[in-house]
Amino acid sequence: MNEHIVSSYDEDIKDLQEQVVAMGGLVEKIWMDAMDCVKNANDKAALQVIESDKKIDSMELKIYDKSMRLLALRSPLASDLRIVVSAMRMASSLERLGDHAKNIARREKLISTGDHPEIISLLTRMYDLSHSALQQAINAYRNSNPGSAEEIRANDARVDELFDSTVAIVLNLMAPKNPPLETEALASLLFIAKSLERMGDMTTNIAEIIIFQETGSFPTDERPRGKDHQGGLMESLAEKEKDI
Amino acid sequence: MSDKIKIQVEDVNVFYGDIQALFDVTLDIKSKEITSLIGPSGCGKSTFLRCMNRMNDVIDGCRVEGKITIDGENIYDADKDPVLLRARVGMVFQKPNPFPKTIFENVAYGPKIHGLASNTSELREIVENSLEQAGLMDEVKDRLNDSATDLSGGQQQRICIARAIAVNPEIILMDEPCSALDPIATARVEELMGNLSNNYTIVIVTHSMQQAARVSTNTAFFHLGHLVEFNATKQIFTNPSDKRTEDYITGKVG
Repeated sequence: MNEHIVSSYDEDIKDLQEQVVAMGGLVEKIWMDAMDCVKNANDKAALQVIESDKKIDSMELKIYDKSMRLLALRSPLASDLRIVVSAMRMASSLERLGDHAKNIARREKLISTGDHPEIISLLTRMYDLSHSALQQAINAYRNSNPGSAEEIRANDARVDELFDSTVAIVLNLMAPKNPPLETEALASLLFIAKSLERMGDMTTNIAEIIIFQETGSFPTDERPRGKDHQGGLMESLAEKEKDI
Repeated sequence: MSDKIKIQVEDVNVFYGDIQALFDVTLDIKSKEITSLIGPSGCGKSTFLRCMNRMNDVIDGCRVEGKITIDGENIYDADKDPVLLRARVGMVFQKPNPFPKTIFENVAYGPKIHGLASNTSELREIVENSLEQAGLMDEVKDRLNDSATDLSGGQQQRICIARAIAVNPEIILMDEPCSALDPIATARVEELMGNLSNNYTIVIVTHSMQQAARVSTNTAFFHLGHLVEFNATKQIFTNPSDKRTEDYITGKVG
């Protein structure tokens, strides 16, 4: 890639891309810690995940800030424009990945009460594939390598298959306690509830984007959360069942 | 917007004496659209613009080869009168250049010499209509007899656009029409260009990438006398196909 005539423009673009790579590195790390929680019931790792997620959130805001400045002051075009728009979208996706890792860590205590090595092994395989794909993606980004990025897209199907296998095994384990159709229905309800919870989170993201658009800054205070949410969805569902 | 081709350029080569300024330029300019010509200084874009109304004819030693047709007629045919051509193909220059006369006379001059009005009321109508189209009427209606050179730079440039419109052209060529204007006057001229493109085919040479991106539907990039890339403006500015285009619009050096 040739250099800009204005060398500080090159530095700005380089700095933006380095910020995205650094954020990607931290997301790789947070997922390692999150999986450590799942495999080894590691309390320390769970705390580490919560801390890293806060850092990831602030990195996202810094990338937005830098991108805005580049758009306003440099009027980027062609590949420069695509770099800035992509940095913002990467930051947003990485932030969501961080959230998912945090959600896993929050369940650390809940899953530690069960003993399901077969499922943990499937989850580990899903993790291994996805985590190496994430590493490959960050490297593809760093090295401007679209070929490598294409490979990642092609490989995601394997993770989907492992997900289906995991769901099938979980359903089988639940089955003895419930009729088969009832088990599937309950599991589906759980997924729907999870999707609705994500819908809530993403709508809140949209709300925060609107606040930013109108005021120029994102809200900095903690988001209000549900009373039982910290303990995880499973726990709150279990309590509700008891109530019934 | 239409798909009709207004200007067809085929294998055009331009020489200034022994020096070749344009090499085998071929492109089609669509009717009632704005086409931008961009490229570094000396790339041939202004030379190319001036081929389209034979302004290069007045330069000693300048030779144009190839074919340029407007609505199918070759403008370089021996029987074509360049003066009549320049009424069909108007031009607006970088620096506003009103005549040292009144606002009215500036706009009335062209219609008078081309005999477009048979009496004063017709002439007045042409002048007022041209000023209206140039978005200037409200600002100057009470001072049509004031000197045009007393107007602001932006207003002077719009007088020049009104002057070009007054002779009822089909095409308006603009050679960096906003480079001497402030951002407000530039925005007014750009807004005006958008309105004018409903009735006229506009070709603009500009050094401002943002201006080309804002105003034009198609963009041509020239480099060292060659037409390197000609495509939809949105394609040129988001994903150009030639590396030389990419380097130029992003401000890079090889």
